Amino acid sequence: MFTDVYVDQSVEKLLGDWDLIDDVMVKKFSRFKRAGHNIVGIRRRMCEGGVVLDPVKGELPAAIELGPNGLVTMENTVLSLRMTCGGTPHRVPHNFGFWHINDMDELYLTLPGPTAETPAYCLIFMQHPDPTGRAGESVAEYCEQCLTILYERHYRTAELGFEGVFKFFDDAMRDYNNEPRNRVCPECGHVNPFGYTWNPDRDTPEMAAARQQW
Amino acid sequence: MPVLDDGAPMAEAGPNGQWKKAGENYVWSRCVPPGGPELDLFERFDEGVVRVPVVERAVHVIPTGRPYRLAHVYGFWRMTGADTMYVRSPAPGGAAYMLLTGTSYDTYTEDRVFWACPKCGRELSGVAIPKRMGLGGLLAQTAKAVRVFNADAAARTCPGCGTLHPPAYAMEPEADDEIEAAGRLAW
Repeated sequence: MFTDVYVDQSVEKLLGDWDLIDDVMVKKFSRFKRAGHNIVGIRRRMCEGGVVLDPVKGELPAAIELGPNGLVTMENTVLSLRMTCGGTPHRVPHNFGFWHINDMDELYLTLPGPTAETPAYCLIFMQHPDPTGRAGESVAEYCEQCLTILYERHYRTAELGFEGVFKFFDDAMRDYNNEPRNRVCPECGHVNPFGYTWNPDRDTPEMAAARQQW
Repeated sequence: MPVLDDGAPMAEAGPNGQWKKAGENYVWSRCVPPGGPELDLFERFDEGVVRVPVVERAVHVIPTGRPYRLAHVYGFWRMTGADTMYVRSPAPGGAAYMLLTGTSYDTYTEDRVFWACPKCGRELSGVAIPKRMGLGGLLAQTAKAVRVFNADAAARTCPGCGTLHPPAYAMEPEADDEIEAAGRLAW
């Protein structure tokens, strides 16, 4: 079928860098990067039994979501698509020390590596908010004892663009940590640990200690 | 298995594949056992049709507005107002495939399902399916359009070069009639 209408020029000329996980392209997505309507992140990590081994952060356990019935553990399983629905607070202990609330759905898929001894491909997809809309994402902190909300800041991703979101996270964590009263639960009085961002290079001593703790 | 609310692992998606609506996304996945057909991805440009290279594992973005089809899965060209992610991976049960289309963009107002002459590329027939009909509407309306196309030899005959288009098939193999099943095997 269609053999008579195939193009006779090189496929690369029309498709460009068509495979996001080839050896060259995958490095460009090691953080998050726009790919058309989507934001894509691809990490090469060893994965075993739902635990991801990060070369810098060490063993990262399963993600946690805060749903209507409380905390839910969301394990990554190879070749299974997992979704965090838009609006659901979620975090990965020891990876980022705040609750991320994205208006957009986040989808997670782990593809096996070429061999059992080589890292898997941990993919994260989410649609970039429609620039004509109002969607965004928030940083929040909840009391670790009673889940009362302590702090929340919102970023207008649709309007401001995804590129500014990491600075927003940095600023929000600095703001949260700089005011000790933010960490004291108004309901139960528990003093919560410091928050921290994704990037351990920017940890203060307090943030590095908190990363070990929660 | 904590997947898409009620379980849809790629490797267990089965030989017929499965469609799901997950949040604001349409997701299709299928696992083809060893020795099964390669589900070639084709994309349609002004210059002609491109067969996306087959590699063991790939993640590829089919951009908004570019017609595409997966052999043995889509017996038609589909054009969507949103990007679609295509994933292929080795899996314990063979090769796993996934298509993932986010539906939240305002640019996504409809799907266009159409047929083009396999010899000269001329467009033959097609329908537009509004996004508001949802995934169920997309599946049903595509199946309806396929039946209409297959039943109309004139619509399947290229007015330019006279080539007869082979029978089309829709998105759910379990609903194929004999003609559609034969088309699905063939192309």
